[in-house]
Amino acid sequence: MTTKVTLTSSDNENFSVNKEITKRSILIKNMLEDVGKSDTPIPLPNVNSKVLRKVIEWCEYHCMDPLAPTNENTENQKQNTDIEDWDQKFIEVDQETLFKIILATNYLNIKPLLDIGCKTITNMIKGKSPEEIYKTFNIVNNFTPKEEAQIRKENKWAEDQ
Amino acid sequence: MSLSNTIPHIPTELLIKIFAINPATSDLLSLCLVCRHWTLAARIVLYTDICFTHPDQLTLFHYCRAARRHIRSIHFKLTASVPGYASIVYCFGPATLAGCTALRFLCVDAASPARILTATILLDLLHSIEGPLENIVLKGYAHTPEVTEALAARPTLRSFAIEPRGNYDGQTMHQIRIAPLEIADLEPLTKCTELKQLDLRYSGQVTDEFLRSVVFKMPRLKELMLGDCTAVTEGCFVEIAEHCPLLRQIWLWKAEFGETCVETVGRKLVEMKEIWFRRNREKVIWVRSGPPLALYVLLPASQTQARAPRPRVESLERELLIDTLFSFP
Repeated sequence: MTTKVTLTSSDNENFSVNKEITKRSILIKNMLEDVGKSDTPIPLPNVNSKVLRKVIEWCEYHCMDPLAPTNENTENQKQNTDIEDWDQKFIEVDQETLFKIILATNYLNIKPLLDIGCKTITNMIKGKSPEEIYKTFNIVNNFTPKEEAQIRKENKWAEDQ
Repeated sequence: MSLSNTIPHIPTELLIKIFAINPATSDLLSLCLVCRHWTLAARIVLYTDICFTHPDQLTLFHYCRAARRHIRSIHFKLTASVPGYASIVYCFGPATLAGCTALRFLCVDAASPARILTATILLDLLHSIEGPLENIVLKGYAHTPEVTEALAARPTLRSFAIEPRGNYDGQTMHQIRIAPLEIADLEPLTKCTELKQLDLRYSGQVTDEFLRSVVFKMPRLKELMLGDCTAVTEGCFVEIAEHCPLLRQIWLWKAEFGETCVETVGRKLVEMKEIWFRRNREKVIWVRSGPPLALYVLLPASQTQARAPRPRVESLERELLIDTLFSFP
């Protein structure tokens, strides 16, 4: 018999999820340990229902994965920007959702999913010029020409290495 | 905030995390020009660890002002194969590293004739560092007591590695002599009471007298690496245990020791994890894993079976020696 935990999104939607699956989130895992046995729903004011549904979907698929070690092996993470096929498909969402998933997993502390989100952004940035980047992400370049010239001048030493 | 409506505001720490995954310099340079917010994060990633390989970079670095405060490590890779090599050290000046207020690691690798990177140039560089320097590696320069003095004035220093050169044959650039290490050269370093690592593997011959005057005065030392220590006696090694009880790694590449040394490690140096020395003219590496204390000896592959051409630490045979050769309390 598996116990269920209720999670409440920012827009007040309730999700009933297997307790073991919610433990993918270190935040929820710690909360459950602190509170002990309780049926009160856990409010997640920083995550809306659309994003929470996605995050739960990921956790359910990956429920059999070994839990990530607490002491992070950052060296390996840095080298590798490959994403597994299932995760690749999973993360094919609009940019707003992608960034919201990153923010949510950062808040919920689900490192493997956060890494997937970050790697996806890295892959979107790779090899692009500043213009291409701010077009890709629809960001407004808010530099004055003087500021931009100053940054170029400061960073000049790092060019063409 | 002039970020677009489609993507939410990402906190700077999270942007840093994203940008730090497999960062290519060219990508970081682009990210610096996207918007004010992204510049903050991209700059921190771009400037945390930097490496100079070309004289022009140093000249241009002069224009870099605001971002210097993010630099935590600098590596000068001034190898003789770099075009314009001879001029690179002349780019060093008293202001080269000014403003690097977070600098913790500095490696100056001149790896070539000592006459080019002089102590005077090096001193200018060292005096200009405002950061809490913890770790310094100096290679291929002319060491003088003044250089040590300049370092000794830094109480934050934790780790020190030098590879000074003696005389060079200017024509072929071959190193022709490594002078024995003078006590006076390094004695001021004993003022750095926090020093945990001392690497003198390529610094000429080390004697008992040197160990007693310099190394014995570093009570917090954890790692000691020595190269030419044929003159170091086992008796002196036994004394090390009393003065540097926290040692956990010792490399004595050429010291010829017997059982007394091993016994000392076993009884007195309780933190010891790894020691390299020679026994019966064979290189021996002891690795202790514990608790419970177990002592392994790593023998070169040639000694066990002719397998690998040249032993690397990882490929060495592991042989548990506990209770067979020596027993420990």
